[in-house]
Amino acid sequence: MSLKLDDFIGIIVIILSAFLYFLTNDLPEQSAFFPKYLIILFGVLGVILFFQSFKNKREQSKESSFSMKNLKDPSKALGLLIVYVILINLIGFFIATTMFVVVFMVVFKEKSFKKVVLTAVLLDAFLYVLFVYQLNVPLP
Amino acid sequence: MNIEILSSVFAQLFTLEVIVALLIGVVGGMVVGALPGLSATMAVALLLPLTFSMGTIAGLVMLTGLYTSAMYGGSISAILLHTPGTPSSAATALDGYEMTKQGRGLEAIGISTISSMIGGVFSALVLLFLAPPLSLVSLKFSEPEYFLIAIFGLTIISSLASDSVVKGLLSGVFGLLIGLIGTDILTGFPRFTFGISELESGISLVPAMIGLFSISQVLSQMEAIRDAKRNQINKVDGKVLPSWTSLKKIGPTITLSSVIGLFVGMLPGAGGDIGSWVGYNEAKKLSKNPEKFGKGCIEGVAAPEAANNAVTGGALIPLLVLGIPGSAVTAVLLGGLMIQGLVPGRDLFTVHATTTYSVIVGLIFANLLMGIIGLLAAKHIVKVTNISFSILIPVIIVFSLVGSYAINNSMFDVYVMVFFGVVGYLMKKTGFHPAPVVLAIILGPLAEGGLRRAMVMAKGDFLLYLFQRPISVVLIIMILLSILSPIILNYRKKKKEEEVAL
Repeated sequence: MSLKLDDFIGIIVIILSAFLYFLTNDLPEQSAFFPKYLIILFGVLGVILFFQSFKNKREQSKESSFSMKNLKDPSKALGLLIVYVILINLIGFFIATTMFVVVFMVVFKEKSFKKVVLTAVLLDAFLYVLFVYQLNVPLP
Repeated sequence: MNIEILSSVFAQLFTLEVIVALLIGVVGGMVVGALPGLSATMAVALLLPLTFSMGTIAGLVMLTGLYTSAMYGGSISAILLHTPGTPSSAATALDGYEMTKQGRGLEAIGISTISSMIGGVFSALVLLFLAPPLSLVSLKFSEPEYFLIAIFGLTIISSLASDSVVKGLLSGVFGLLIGLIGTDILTGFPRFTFGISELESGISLVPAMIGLFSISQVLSQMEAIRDAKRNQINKVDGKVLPSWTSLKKIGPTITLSSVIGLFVGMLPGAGGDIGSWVGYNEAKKLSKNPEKFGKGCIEGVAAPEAANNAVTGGALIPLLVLGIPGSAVTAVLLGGLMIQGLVPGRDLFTVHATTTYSVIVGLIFANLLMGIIGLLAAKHIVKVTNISFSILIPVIIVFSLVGSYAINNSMFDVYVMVFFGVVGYLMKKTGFHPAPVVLAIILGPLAEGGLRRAMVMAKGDFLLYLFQRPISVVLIIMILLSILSPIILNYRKKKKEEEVAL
């Protein structure tokens, strides 16, 4: 038997609510009251989702959207974003931003060299004027 | 509203800061609306951090101007490119693009601009006069009602925004659980913080919102980045200013559509997309020659455009009066209000009257300004659709990051944004919707506080106490209806489909 997407989500929700319910034991009774009921509701909805998708065998259209082909570019973008965030901590905001914009555009096939440089420079200048100069937000 | 408030409203509005903010909102909204793939919700979420360091009125006028202008902006690309910039303009593409093919593109833009402007101004005027008396209702509310109204707001958006009711409610409860993270205000005890000190003040709303609406949208767009092709902009001809005869012809259509849009907007859960289709269908039904619809008739452009802009004022009524946002955009706007320390209800029209009326009058100006700029510049604005996504996406990502950071000057908020970006993207892919999560993060603390204080007031049997309060009973019935009606509608639809299949 193969698990379908919604079955899978249902199971995750049920496990998550069991874990969260366990955590509420450490809380004072007053603070735990609302979360407890909420977590029970979360778990019950997870169970309903599980059985609903278990019964509905014919709906399988959604899974195809999780193909490698569809996920490849979004995961690349996410990877670049995460590296960008790490770089900000290491080498500062403006250098990291310039690198991110240039690399992103090269990876996703922006051919015109002029456009790549122009976008990076204009963006940096705009952010500097708006945040550092105008709004006094010190960027990292 | 008396003369005194009116004069201070005008004094507040005609400052350089507000006028600049209004211009940014209107032009920005038009551009974002015209760009397919960028939504008004995303734009409002991205600009929200900026309003932080602006005056209250300037910030809110910018956001509401952006909202109404994005509704109109979608029609520019719908008419000239046959690609609706927003779902709200899908109906406009039917007749609008036909007109472009006939060489009447500019005429269609003119009709759409005038209709949008009238629809928008009409609904903002109704908002101005209807919201204050309606807000008296909220005076009758006490703790139990605050709790129930928060739950009602959640159930209504949950049941309408997702693939199924269960998934919608799951998104809502998930958001409520996120809202629990942080120090419990009543006992001072940290909940679900896992020892991370940054979590003690709770998940910051704005980074979560930017992640859920903006980063998730960007990731979705990435799927198609390689198939992106340049839009062929047709040669635009014709006169932008509609003639007197065509204005007389579309007059009744605009009037009807404005009223329809207003009511659709007031309904929680229904937004511009539904409004414009209802407006289009009603105009077709009442027309003397319905066969002309779809072949480039001006009523077919006027009807959906007047309706979707009339939705904006309508949608702000339940938002300002009760704090129930009917759509993703208004949920973000609610966040914007809260950031400025404005809580929906009667107070908005008494204590904060000047601010509130300034924002509403500002919305009227935004619609007028949108009309003027639209008539002058729409054919140039369509050129922005030529900017490729490989430029737009990194720019949007950088803005999202800076916006999330700038709210508290904290890198932790940036991590929050990335996390919710991934969550939002996965939710969209699995048939969930991020809007209930955002709303739940906003309403969660209100609901819990209301519930716990109401329990104290009840002194015993809580349910019995609720049933002794008439407004509570009405709210409970509305909550049940909002959960049950989609289930029943679905069941009947399925049954019909089975009958057809047999």
